[in-house]
Formats: sequence, C-alpha cells, structure tokens
Amino acid sequence: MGDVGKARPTRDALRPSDAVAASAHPIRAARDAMRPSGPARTPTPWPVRRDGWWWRHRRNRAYVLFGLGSLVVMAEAAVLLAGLWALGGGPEAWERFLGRLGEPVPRLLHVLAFLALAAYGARFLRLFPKTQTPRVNLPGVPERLRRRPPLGALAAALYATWLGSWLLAGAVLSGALG
Amino acid sequence: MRRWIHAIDPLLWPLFGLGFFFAAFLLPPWAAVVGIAHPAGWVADGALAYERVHSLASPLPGRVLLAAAVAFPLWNAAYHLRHTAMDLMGQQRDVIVAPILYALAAAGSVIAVVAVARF
Repeated sequence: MGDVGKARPTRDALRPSDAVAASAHPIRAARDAMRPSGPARTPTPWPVRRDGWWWRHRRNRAYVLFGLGSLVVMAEAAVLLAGLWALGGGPEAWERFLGRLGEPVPRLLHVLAFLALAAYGARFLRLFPKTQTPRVNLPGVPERLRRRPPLGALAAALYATWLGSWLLAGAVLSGALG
Repeated sequence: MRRWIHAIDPLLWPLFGLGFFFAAFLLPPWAAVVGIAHPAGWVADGALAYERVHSLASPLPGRVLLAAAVAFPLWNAAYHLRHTAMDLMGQQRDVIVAPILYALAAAGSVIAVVAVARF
C-alpha cells in the first residue's frame, strides 16, 4: 500500500481513475485502496457431492439412466465393429461371428440392448425438437420458413422417420427387401 | 489437459449430435436382426450369408455408412458418458475420464475405417 496516490506507468495509465488523478483536483487516497497486495487465487471448491442424489427423484433417475444408456450404445457399436472386422476376414470369420452371437448369453444381452437402445432413441427424439432454435434469421427466406415447426409436429415427423428407418434397415438386413 | 479438453469441445458437439441419430436409427435394427432374429431363426435362409452381406456392404456408400454407424455412436457415447461421469463423480476426475473415453472413440473410429477398407 506504499504506492497509494503515486502515478503508475504504462498499462494502468489508461484507466479512468488516472484521468481523475491527473485532473486539477486529484482524488489521491482511495484510488487503489482495494488493490490486492499481490497476485491471489480465488479459492473455488468443487461442488459438494450429494451421494445417491440421482436415484431419489424420477426426473433425475431418467436423466442419469439416459446418460448410462450410452454405455449400451458404445457396446453395440463395438459389436458392429467386430462384425465389420469379421466380414473383412472372409466367410469363415463371418460365420464364426454369427455363431458367437447365437449363444444364449449374447442373445439375452442383445434383447436387453435392443430395449435400451429403443428407450435411448425415444428420449433423444423427444428432446431433440426442444433444442432447435425457434427462429432462424436468414435473409431472403420467407418468414413462415424461418420459424421452427410446432414441437409436436417436429416430434411426430422424427418418430415416423425413426420407425421407417427401423423397418427399412430391418427389411434389408433380414432379406425381406433387396 | 483441462484447457485442451475444453478447447476441442466445439468439435465434439456435432459428433455427439450425429451419433445420436446413428445410434437411434441404425443400431436397433442391427441388434434386432443380427443379435435376436437371426439366432432365433426368424430370418430368411441366406439373408445373412457372407456373399449377400458382403455385396451389400462393399460398395462405397455401404462402407461409408457402416464406418459412420460405428464411429459416430462411439463419439456420442464418449461425450455422453463423460458428462454423466461428471454428474455422478464430480469434475475432479474429468482430466482422467475424458482422455480415456475420447481415446476409445478415436481408436474405434480408426479401426472402423480400417475394417471397411478390408472388404
């Protein structure tokens, strides 16, 4: 605090308080009264963990289970990757891969994975329309096209596309189509 | 590390969104047909024979679609799991969790590209 009232060179000279200090009636005393004596770190504690918080309320449970559903997504993507690798390995590797999926444990896991993926996708499609901006500011585009469609219509279109893609992909894979 | 993770976040956000679509639209039919219906004998004979599946997968659009169907859900899951881990365990462990999950997603993406190139 020994430099109170003294003019500080360079960077600080641009501060409004310097204009006051340089005026005919400088305010000398209070200018740097609150300046820290040295560089200081503001202590920021980590948020307090409330163990078990997510299980107590239905909305929190759904939110966390949605997040944990991504474990299933990761696992099923890994199965698909194993399938692609087997396909590149020739007919024997592919048959071996299909044979492993036919065992009881993988079959049970796939039933559970299918249910989890369906729930994961359904929640995503329900949330997705709400994340879209209500209006896009595009010059030259008519006003009615700038606005987001009603949430219900958007969700219905997404659900219809979702089920359609399931039917199409399922039909192609199972040999009913193509 | 923390600064680096924050810096690449805008790049990961589109991968997160795209991964949702691939995970919702393509993975359930794959699980239903290959993991459930085929072992149960509900699928027509020869539908999953090597020659047929290879002929579906080997054109360029098929390769791109299949690589994307692996890579984008992996990035989606990594991003989503990381944020769930932060919710459940606090942010202290993010400097460990985030690199592990993103490394898994990156490795899986590279392997997916190699896998479709082997057809």
